[in-house]
Amino acid sequence: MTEAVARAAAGGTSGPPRALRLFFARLRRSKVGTLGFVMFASVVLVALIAPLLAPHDPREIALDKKFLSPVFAGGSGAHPLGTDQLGRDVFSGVLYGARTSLIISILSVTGAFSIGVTVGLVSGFYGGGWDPFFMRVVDILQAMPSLVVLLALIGVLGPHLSTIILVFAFTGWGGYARVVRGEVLSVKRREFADAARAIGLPEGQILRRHVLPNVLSAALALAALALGSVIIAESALSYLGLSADVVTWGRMLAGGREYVVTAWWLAVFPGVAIVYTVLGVVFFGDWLRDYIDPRIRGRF
Amino acid sequence: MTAYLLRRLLQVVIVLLGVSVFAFFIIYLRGDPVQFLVPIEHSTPELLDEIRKEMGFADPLHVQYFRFLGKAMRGDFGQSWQLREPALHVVLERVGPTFQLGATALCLALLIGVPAGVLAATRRGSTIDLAASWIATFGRAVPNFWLGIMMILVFGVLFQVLPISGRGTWLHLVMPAIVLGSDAAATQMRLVRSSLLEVLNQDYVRTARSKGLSGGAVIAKHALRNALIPVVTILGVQVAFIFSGSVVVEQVFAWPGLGRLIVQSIFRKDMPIVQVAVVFLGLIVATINLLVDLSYTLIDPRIQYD
Repeated sequence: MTEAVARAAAGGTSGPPRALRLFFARLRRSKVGTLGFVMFASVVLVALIAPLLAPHDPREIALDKKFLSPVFAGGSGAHPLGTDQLGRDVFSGVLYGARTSLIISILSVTGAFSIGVTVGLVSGFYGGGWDPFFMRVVDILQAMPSLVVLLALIGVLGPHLSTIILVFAFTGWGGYARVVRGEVLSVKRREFADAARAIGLPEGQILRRHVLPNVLSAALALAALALGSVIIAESALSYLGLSADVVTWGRMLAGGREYVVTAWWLAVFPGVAIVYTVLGVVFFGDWLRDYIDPRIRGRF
Repeated sequence: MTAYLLRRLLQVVIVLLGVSVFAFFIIYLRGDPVQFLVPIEHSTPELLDEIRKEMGFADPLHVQYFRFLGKAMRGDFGQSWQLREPALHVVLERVGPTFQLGATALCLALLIGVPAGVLAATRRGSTIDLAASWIATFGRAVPNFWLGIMMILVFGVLFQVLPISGRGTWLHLVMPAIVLGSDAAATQMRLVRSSLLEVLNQDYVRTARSKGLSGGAVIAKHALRNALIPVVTILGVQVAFIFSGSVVVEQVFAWPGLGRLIVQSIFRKDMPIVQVAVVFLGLIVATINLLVDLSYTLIDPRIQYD
């Protein structure tokens, strides 16, 4: 069953309709899981159609319209969430901010997942000299405060979209490698792996057919939760001034902190957008973890 | 025990060597390190060559690395590129405020997280338990810098009861410490709750109850001590988290600590400061993880290293 689930969650290679039906049938039974899925899906949708929804260009500066209040605090409907210190529309910024946030988080989690699973498989399955080497590299990666490492690398290389994604991917794979390695070590001693070996299947085939599907589920559960922390880390870097775009939630909040005494709305709405997105990810991720593999409940 | 200690120390040394390699290579990430030092419009090939020779960038990389490592072990990281004083001095001056903030945050986290976890576990399914788990879930979705800004908005701007930036009286410490400790408190709460629930089902707890000990005594003497192992384990991770968090929280509250210095130095391209900070933080985190490992034998005498 876990094999089908892993396939369904990974995009599916064979028989996706049935696996997907099972997935959604289970999802509907959990209120919190459904809520999380709907919340996250709504952010994805907003990111996709932001140009259709946004009333203004979020980068458009209009100095005659700066610090307009939101509509429910005496402002006008033309700028429903008010404007910032340069007269830019906050509502449009919040909508467009979803794009940068999702592109960075989804691509970098995918990258870290791929590296981590590969390293974990090699390390756990072949062992030998690579195992201690990779595990020490993971130790080193995890020995330093992650934000400091991200800040140093992105600060030096420059905050371009591709740089940020690569840095997140190359510093974030340690957790997957550890989990996958541990799972491989326990899976490869189980009866079905012995049985496969006994009938003469080559090691590569055993790895792909029998070990991989079993360990992927554990890594997928970790990825769902990592998505939330990457969204938060990216917004923190943006807040500190390393943003890939003029319009990011973190960068908007930096302006919000500066003008917190006069324009509270600048500090509130981009933050609400982050919390809404990450809360959706956390709700859905927690459900997905229990769904994929009830055995690993509470291990992260 | 001695063999274990030696093996563990060797691991720490390997990790620190890795950290030093990382710190060393930061300045080579974009190729030639002289570009940090000379503005492009003033650079002539002769000037660049001269600086390369003066700073030792002309030597082979491994020569430079071992020189960096050798000096670093003697506490010499060179001069700050912007402030013209030893980089180590500049960093050490800012460590105090960060330790003060971080230690307060960690104490707060333990003082709130552990009792909340005990309450949640002993009153499983009650309103307290549910409230605590919802707060912890929300906590995972709230970036700490935004929590800081919201607290500034409420307590600094709206009610005007707390200062919104800087360091001075203990009142300045209140908001940043709460913000910095909130993640750790939520994690501790969840961990104490789940490990206590596991321990409460054990035979020795039932025995302690059946011999007539009060509920509080059972928890304090028999259950909590056994539930503490994961709490201590996570402390090592949390120290690294707190240092990560302090980078942002110090920025929000203009707290004059190490985190703020790191951010400023990155933007000023003052690489020696960044290098010291990376090595320093790696050293602290590695040491604390080592102490955590060794402390298991004190909490649980059954754990013997060999």
